[in-house]
Amino acid sequence: MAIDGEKAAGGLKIEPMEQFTIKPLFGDGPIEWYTPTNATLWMGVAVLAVTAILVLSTRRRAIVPSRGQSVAEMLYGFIHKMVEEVAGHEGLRFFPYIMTLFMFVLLSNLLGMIPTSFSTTSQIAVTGTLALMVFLTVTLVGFWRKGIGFLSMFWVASAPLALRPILAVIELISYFVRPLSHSIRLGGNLMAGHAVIKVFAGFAGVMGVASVVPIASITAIFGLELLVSAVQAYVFTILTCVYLRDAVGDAHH
Amino acid sequence: MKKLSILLALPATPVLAAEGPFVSMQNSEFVVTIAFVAFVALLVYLKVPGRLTSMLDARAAAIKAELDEARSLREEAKSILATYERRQKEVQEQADRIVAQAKDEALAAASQAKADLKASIARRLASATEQIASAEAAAIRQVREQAVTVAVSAAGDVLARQMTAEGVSSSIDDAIAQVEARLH
Repeated sequence: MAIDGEKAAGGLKIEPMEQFTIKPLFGDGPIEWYTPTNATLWMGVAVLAVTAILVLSTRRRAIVPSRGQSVAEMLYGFIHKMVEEVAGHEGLRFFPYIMTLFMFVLLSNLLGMIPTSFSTTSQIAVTGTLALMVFLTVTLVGFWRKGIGFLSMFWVASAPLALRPILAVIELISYFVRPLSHSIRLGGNLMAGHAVIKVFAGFAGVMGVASVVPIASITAIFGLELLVSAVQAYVFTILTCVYLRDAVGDAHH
Repeated sequence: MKKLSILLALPATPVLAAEGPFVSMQNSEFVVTIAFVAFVALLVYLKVPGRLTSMLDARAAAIKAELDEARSLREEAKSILATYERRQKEVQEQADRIVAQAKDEALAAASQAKADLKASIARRLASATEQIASAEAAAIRQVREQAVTVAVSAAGDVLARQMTAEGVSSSIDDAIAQVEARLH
């Protein structure tokens, strides 16, 4: 890496990608599929946090909500409305799945902002799995509900006949690119933000008193990252709804 | 807030500690932690948590106000219902009273009519008896007059038959003689 050369020259220690290393929680052995790692830990923390926000805060089932219950209700209402508006009334059957996706991604993003934590959603393995699950769900549900008619979404009936085969190829490619763009959009955004923070943090190590500047920058980036965390969780979820509409709705593009 | 502080306590044991001491500007984790604390302090300084909690409280208050309004509307509807039920009861009572009164009046009128009928029967009976009595009296009087008439005519007949021409004069003489004898 080019950064290694700089490190040797001026004591500048910038390892922005080091934070994304997956390490076993206990010991230093090789990582098998069953090895508990920092990724396991922080996904578990995310699940616990989701449980705390949605289940623990609403356990009193008060009619006049407490603050925690209000947060849970607003999140629920927000996602419910979005699913109904984007995926249609039929899409509401998938509301539990979409709500789960949203809460997991949101909490993983937010927890990833805590210093020394591990941000699971910056791993393509995680976002790719989520995106593939959405892709498979949409494809299977589409064929199950519409049968072979599901393929008609690739045949743009409103276009001139001569253009339709070309459009069909483009549609087909774009359909199969979906899981890729879906996962990279989320993972890339998160990874980039965290890498930038680490780069600035590396600058702070060699600037003496002037390191106030990079620290202030990181503070500002934290604000940006907070926004990115929420927006990317929202985007991931709304794209899921858009894809789902192809499978359950009547109208297509 | 409590949950957040628990989450904040988690990274206190550095999971990804780089080599070297944690509290060092060379350690990027430490630098990021400083920036994170600064960010949280900035949020607190800008009163973001306060605003969020007050927003949540406002939501709760709005829901509570709506509930209260609904409850008061329900109470109002209940009281209106009670009023109408009471009024209905009153009207029912009134109707019952009117019916009872009408029945009483009808009974009274019937008994009155019966009494009137009895009285008129008695009156007619009395007047009939009276008529019979007067008719009887008239008949008796007529019979008596008839008898007198018959007796007078019979006496006239007898006297006419007994009295001849001389007899008439003698009787006049006799009568005169009698009168003379009596006067003296």
